[in-house]
Amino acid sequence: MCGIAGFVAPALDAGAVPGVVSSMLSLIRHRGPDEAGYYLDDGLAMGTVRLAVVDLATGAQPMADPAERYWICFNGELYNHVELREELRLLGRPFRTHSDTEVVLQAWIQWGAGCLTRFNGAFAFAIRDALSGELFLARDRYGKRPLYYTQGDGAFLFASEMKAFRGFPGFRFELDPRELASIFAVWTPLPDRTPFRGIRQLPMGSVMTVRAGRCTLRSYEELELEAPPFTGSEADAAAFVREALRAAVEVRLRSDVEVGVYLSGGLDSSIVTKLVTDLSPHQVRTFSVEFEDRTFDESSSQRVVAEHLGTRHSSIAVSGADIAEHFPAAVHHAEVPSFRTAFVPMYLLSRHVREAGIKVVLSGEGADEAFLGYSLFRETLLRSSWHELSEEQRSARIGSLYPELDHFGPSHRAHLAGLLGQFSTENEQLPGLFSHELRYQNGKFAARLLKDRSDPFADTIALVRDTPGYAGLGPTQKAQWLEYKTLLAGYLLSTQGERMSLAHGVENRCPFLDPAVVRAAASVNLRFDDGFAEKAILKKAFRGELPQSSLTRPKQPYRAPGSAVFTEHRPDYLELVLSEAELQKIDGVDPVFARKLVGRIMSAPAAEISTKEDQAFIYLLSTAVLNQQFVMNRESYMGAPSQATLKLRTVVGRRQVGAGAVR
Amino acid sequence: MDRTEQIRQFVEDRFLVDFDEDGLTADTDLFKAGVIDSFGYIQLMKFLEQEFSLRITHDDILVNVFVSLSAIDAFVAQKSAELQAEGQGAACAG
Repeated sequence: MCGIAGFVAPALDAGAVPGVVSSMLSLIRHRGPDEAGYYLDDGLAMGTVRLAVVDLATGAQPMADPAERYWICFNGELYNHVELREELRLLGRPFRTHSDTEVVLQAWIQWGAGCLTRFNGAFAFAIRDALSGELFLARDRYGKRPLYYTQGDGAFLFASEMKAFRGFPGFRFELDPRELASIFAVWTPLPDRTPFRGIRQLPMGSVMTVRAGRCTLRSYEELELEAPPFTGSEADAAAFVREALRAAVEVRLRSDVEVGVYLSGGLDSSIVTKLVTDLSPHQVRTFSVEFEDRTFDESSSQRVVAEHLGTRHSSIAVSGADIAEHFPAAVHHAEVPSFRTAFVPMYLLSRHVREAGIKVVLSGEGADEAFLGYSLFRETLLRSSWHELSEEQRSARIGSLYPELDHFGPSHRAHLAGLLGQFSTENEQLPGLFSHELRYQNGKFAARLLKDRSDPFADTIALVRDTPGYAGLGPTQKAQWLEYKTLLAGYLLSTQGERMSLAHGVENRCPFLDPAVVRAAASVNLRFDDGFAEKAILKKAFRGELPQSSLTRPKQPYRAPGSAVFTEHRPDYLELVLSEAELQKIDGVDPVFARKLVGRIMSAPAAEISTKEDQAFIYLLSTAVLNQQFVMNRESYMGAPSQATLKLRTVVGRRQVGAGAVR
Repeated sequence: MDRTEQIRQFVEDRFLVDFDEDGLTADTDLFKAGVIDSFGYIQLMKFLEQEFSLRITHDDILVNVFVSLSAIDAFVAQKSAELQAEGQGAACAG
């Protein structure tokens, strides 16, 4: 795992270039504390900060082919590098190292962008063709690793994290109120968006060519949620799923350093732990978050699984005070407004993991999307078949939704029937977004934080309208598509996932996001059950191998205390939303509504604060903090700087103009 | 405060809206406008039941659509009238 950054800027003074690229890399040095390197060519510079995981000795970057025509800066891991290396060797490609980076480079030389669909990995990279003068950027199919870019004043900039752009002369961050409205409405930035004006993400599964100052972006792989139905028995299907997962874990254990596991105590991470334990020659280390607040704590389940599987388990206890204290630092790493605080404990967990000497962890992310684990999918199934069900069936199915929410409890069944009836198929209000309409009620509320009241869902509606094949998907598959493209990539894998783990130089790997696992899930979902028994086939696949409690307990979504931690602990930065003058400083925010919301959060008893109010408040606070950090450049809000130093090991210069070749 | 005003006040306080300032009318669909969510809906039902001493039954929910201030108000008016009639009927019978 690493971070990359660079630019194409022909007008930048040649003498300044090394300092600028070093400065950009230094701003993301937490991602790759082991070593750094950069490559300079006429009008271009790019570099890598490296977390050495595979081929520690010779995997330094930037790396070139023997002819030094192609140069690569690579962030991530290619899990099938062993197989691809063999295939490429048979095709005559030369190899000088054992690193996966070189496999990516040689695959690119051999197959061009056609190599991308062959990759099983989590990556973002830049390849420079020194002969043609082109620069290529690509990102993995599920958006595991980030890649941002921006253009202006004759320069094109790219980086793993936006904060690197601060290192480029004259670059300024501005919040984009239109994007903020969309983020507040759908919980995350859309696949190509960010909260900042003029900064975009390379969407997952896409590749960009930069040639003579012009960018061309295209998708190399669409999200595929349909698969030929599994034709064997249910027992065969369970075995098929188990084998796909076993293989996915096996390739993710390829590492020259020890691999640990994030164990939440739920089914998915327990499955990962079980498989890692089976496949490791040594005792496996597992890591967890415990909460002081029993409402959120899962430590008893974690301990049961750890004991059952014989792992060396360790956990950190996180309090409301910890969340309040570390919120700004975690927001600085996340770089986007958040609707929850649950990413802050993950920031603290990765610090603990790193201190324990581990720099690679496996986790259960992606299981709920692939195997229909979320209540949202059951809600979609229920609402889309509303008129075909009897009252008793409706009531029973309402009972299986959102067990963690009191207002979905037994005493409100009749009321909820009235509510859900209004969100049945014929009442679709947001074209293409049927599955998420009830959830998006919360988003509509949060979008009122912005002065501009134009439709915050317009861009999401346009995205699904323009996606080939989307209209032909069934209601549940559309729900899955939206989850993969928004909550998974835009929050779980990023804000709560790799941005928090990489804050402390820890790489995370997700077996449930192996393409073969996603395909296996698509072929067995809803074939052997009606979807109302949560992840039934997955539970069957691991029956007898996990503690009974892991297989029978209802899903407990990973959550953390919300706005109450701020009202209780009153951190200094709360002033950013308590003060009218401070609220006025946030571009696009409606201070009138913001004041009403803050007033309510500060005065109402916690039990009377609804989910949407809680979310809107955390959005507002995280936006106010981001505004200080990115727009106003206030370092005091950024948390403690990374203790990593920029360990420059490789400097390659091929410049002909203005500076001599330094190699 | 009359009934309509009481319901309006609850909606404004509970959902942080101002009908006049936010351009809402008695007929605005409060779901479409992003005013009510599932938690708020349940709270609204509880408020109506407590404040106006009525019981919202499954049948009420099937035939009534609680999406706008006027629809909620009309429902409460009708339900209260029914309750009153029942009360009078009971008194006569006694």
